Amino acid sequence: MTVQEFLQYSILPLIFFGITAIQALGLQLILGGAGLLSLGHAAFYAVGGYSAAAFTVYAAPALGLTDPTLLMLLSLVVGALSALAAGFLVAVPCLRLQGDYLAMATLGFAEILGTALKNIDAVGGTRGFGNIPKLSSLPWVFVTLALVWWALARFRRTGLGMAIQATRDDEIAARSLGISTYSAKLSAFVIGSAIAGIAGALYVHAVQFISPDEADFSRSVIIVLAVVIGGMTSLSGSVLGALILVVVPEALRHNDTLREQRMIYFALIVIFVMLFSPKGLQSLFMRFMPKAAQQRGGTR
Amino acid sequence: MFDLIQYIFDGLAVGSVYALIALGYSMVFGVLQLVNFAHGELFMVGAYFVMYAISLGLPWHLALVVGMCCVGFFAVAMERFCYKPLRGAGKLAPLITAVGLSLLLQNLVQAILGSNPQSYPATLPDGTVFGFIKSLFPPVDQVTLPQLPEGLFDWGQIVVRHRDLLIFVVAIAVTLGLELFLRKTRPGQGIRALALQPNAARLVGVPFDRTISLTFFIGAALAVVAGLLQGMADNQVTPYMGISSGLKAFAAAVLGGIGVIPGALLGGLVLGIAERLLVGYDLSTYKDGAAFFILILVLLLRPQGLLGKARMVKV
Repeated sequence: MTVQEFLQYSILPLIFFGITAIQALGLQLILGGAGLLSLGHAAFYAVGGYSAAAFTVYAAPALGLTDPTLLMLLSLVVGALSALAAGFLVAVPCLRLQGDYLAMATLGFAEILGTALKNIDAVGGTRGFGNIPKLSSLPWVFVTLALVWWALARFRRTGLGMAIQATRDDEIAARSLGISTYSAKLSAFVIGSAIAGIAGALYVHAVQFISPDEADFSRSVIIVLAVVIGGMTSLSGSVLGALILVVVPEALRHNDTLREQRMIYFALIVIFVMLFSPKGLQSLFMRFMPKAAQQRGGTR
Repeated sequence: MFDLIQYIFDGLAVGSVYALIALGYSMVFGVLQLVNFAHGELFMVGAYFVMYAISLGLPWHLALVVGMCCVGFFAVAMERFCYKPLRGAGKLAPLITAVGLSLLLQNLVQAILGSNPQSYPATLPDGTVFGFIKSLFPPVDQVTLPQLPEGLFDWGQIVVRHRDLLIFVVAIAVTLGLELFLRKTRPGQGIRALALQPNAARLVGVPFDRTISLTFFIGAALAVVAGLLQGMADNQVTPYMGISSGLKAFAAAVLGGIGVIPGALLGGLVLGIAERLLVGYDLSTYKDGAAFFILILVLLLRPQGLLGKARMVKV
């Protein structure tokens, strides 16, 4: 394989990696940041994707917008806002629930949303929504990933970011310090959802197609895997997790047996991580890094 | 009007299977406040196990008992090695582990036995770990499941199939048996005591670990019964049957009141009937969303479920 062929081949996997990483960063804020397990993260991604696609396909021609850069930027905003709104609608009732119930309620919302999408004909129903203009590309995905990453890293050091982490560590203590734990959780949830919506907007304009399967439970599980495998408590862990989840199947594409069995190993890694190394694979890698690098990137 | 009654009768069979799975969720949640996400997979593994045992020539009742014991012990081992070390580590860790376990079992069964229910065991490239596991199972030419009774009760407008009735009766009998066990026997009372007040139960001498193991064992055994019934009703078993039935059964358990035994039965039946009604009135595309719609409605309006009592959480 020549270098050019390799590069050409790598574009799509790289786009998928970038999009998965953005999704994982969003969930990291909810799962690792606020300690809430959302099993419906893919639903917000689908909401963002569908509304961004509907915007460029239906609304943009009506408004007379043609500039691709402007259109893409607007569709990112549309994706983020719609997912944020969806996240808000889900979070307001669900955050009254504790741990396990919350996971199930988010899962339930995702399933309902998938069912609803299958029944909306304007966006293709079960056939999926096609013919979306190609607006995003590898640079778009990676610039957005970098921006999201940077913004989330900054966000952690703000008052709200700290409040979210305090709520995760000890809700009662946080509340007695005067932190509104409800609004801390709510903001983590809606911001995480909005980031998923951004990923969805990037996805539909790169692949030019989206189907209700994107809201599926199995997609949500993939994002959870990425966050947990990499290390729930760190941003770089989520990106690492996304890298593992996307690159491993690609690397195994010549070995069908292993490729089909990859979910077994991912599941084993998740169980292993939860039982023995709660900080994820990222912490294992950190152990082998030089001291200086550890001090720079090792803290959360 | 007759349509409605007919749909309700049809829904009872589906609902009974949900109910049997829901009992396991309910019991485990009762003692550990843990949603055993892998419970649906125990149902699936059980269905495979019993089907396999029957295909090897065991009579179905023996196969069922062997399956209940094996899957039961498997569930006990699962709790011992995967959930027990995480006790006291918060709620998130066991929940994620459970999701991992569910994924593991699903994909493991698929890798060993193939995703196609007909070609069983699947033709898998040898020389892998899973090829080795597969070679431990003697090959089976024909998968045979015992036939459910074929007949019908025909009352003019309303027709009830014998098999639906059988499944319903089994579910009722199992629930009654379980309720009796929990109320009248010592180990059963231990489970209830643990669910009510873990610390007080330990003080009066309820063996904590053993009681939890017993809870997992019973839950898994009931899931195996559900697996056999479902397998016979559909005449097939797939690696993915656990995830959808499992999630719906969880919804049923919450609907009835999680931790309440008759609640699981009621929840399962209501859910089964609701799904059948949607199919009957031409809304079958909404069928899979129905369980979750009900789940969310219950969580928001009456989190303790239909038959549950609200409990205050102390800080």
